[in-house]
Amino acid sequence: MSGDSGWRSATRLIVGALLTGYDGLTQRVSNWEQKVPLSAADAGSYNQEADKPQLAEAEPLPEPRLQHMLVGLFFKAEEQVETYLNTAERASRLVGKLADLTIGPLYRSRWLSPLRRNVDWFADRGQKVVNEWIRLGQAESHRSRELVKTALNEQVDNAIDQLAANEKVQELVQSQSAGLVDELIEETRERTVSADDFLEAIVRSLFRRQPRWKLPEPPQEMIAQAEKQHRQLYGRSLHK
Amino acid sequence: MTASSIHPLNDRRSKLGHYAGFVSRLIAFMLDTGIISITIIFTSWFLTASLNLLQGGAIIHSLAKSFPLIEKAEFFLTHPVTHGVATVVFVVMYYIFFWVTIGQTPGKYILGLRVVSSNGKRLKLFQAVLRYLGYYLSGLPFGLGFFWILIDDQRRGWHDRLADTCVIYVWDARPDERFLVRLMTEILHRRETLKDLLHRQKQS
Repeated sequence: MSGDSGWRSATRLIVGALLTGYDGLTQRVSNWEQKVPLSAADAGSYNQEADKPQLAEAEPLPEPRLQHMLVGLFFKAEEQVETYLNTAERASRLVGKLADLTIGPLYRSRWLSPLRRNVDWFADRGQKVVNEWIRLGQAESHRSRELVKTALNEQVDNAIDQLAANEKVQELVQSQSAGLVDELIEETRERTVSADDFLEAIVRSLFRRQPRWKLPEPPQEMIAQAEKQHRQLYGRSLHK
Repeated sequence: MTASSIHPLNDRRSKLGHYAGFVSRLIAFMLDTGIISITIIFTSWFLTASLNLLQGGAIIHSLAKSFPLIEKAEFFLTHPVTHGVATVVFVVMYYIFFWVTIGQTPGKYILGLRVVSSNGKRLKLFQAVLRYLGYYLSGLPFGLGFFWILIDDQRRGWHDRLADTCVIYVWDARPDERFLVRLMTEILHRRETLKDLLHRQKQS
C-alpha cells in the first residue's frame, strides 16, 4: 500500500466489493437457472413469436395475476428498449452515411487539412486517455478483488478467533457436549433395560417359568437404599 | 414383596432398586473389560517406553553384574510369569476395589447398576472376593452361571448366589417402548420371512 492514499484503498475496496458481489450473484443466478430447467412442456414464458397464440389461449395460472402482469411488463419494456436502441443505431448509421456523403468531400479537401490534423490529434489524445483508463481498470480490478478477498478472510478468521475465545461460547459448547453425553447414556440405558426384559421374557417362556411381572418385587428396604444411593451418586443430572 | 401384576407393556413405573437384567450386566462387563484392557496396554507401553528412554534396562543390567540381589530382582521383574501375575492382580483389585468402595465398577456406573448384598447393603470384602471367584465358577461350564441370570427369579448368577449378592438398577430405569416395539416388529418380520422361505423350499 506504499505511496497510495487512503482514498485509493477505499475506492479499491468498494470496486472490489461490487465486482466480487456481482460475480457471486451472477454465479448464484446461473446456478438457480440450472436448478430450474425450463422445458418446452412447462413453458409459460414468452420466448418466440410462435408462442404468442398459445399464451393467449393458455389457462390462467393459480399465481397472482398482478405478479405475472408486472413480470410480463418488465420483459416487454426490455424488448421495447432494445427495439428503440436498434432503431437509434440504424438512424445514427444513416446520418453518418449522409454526413459522409455531404460533408466528406469538404472535410477531406486540402483547405481544411490544418483543421483535420487538429481533430485527428484530439482523437488520438482521447484514444490514449481511454487506453490508459482501460489499463488502469484492468490492474485495479484485480487488485481490488484481492484486497476484498484478504479483508474478508481476515475478518472471518478474527470472528472465529473471537468466538473461540468467548467464555460464554465455550460454556455453551461444554454444556451442549455434556448434555449430549447424558442423553446418549440415558438412551443406552433405556434400550438395555428394554432388552433385559425382552430377552428374559423369551427365555423364561421357553423354560416355562413365570413371567417377571408375576413375580414379587424386591424388598422395599432395597428399593429405599437404591433411591438413597441414586440421590447420592447422580444428584440432579440424570434424575428425571 | 408383592407381585407387580401389571403387564410390562403397561408398566411405566420406575425400576429403581429392581434387579438388573442380563443385557445391561453383559454390556457393563464388556465396558469393564475394555477399560481394563486399555489400562493394561497403556501402562505396559508407558513403562517400556520410559525404561528405554532413560536407558533403565542398561543401567539395571550393569548394576546386576555387581549386585546379586539386583540380578535376582531383574530376573523376577522381567519374567513373563511376573507380568501375568501382575495383570491378574490388577484385574482382581479393579473389581474388588470398586465393588467394596462404591459398589459399582466404571462399566456398571455407566449403565446405572450397582452390586449390593441381598439385604441391599454395601458388599463386604469377603463377599467381593467370593463374588470374583464366582466369576470363574460361572464361566467354567460354557458361561452357564452367567446365563442363569435369565431364568433366575432375582436375576442372580451363580457368582451372586455364592456371595449372596445381587445387582440392581440405581437410576430411574424405564424401558424404551418404541425400541421394544421396533424390536418385536423386526423379529416378527424375520419370522414371517423365514416361514415363507421354508414354505417355498418345501414346494420346490
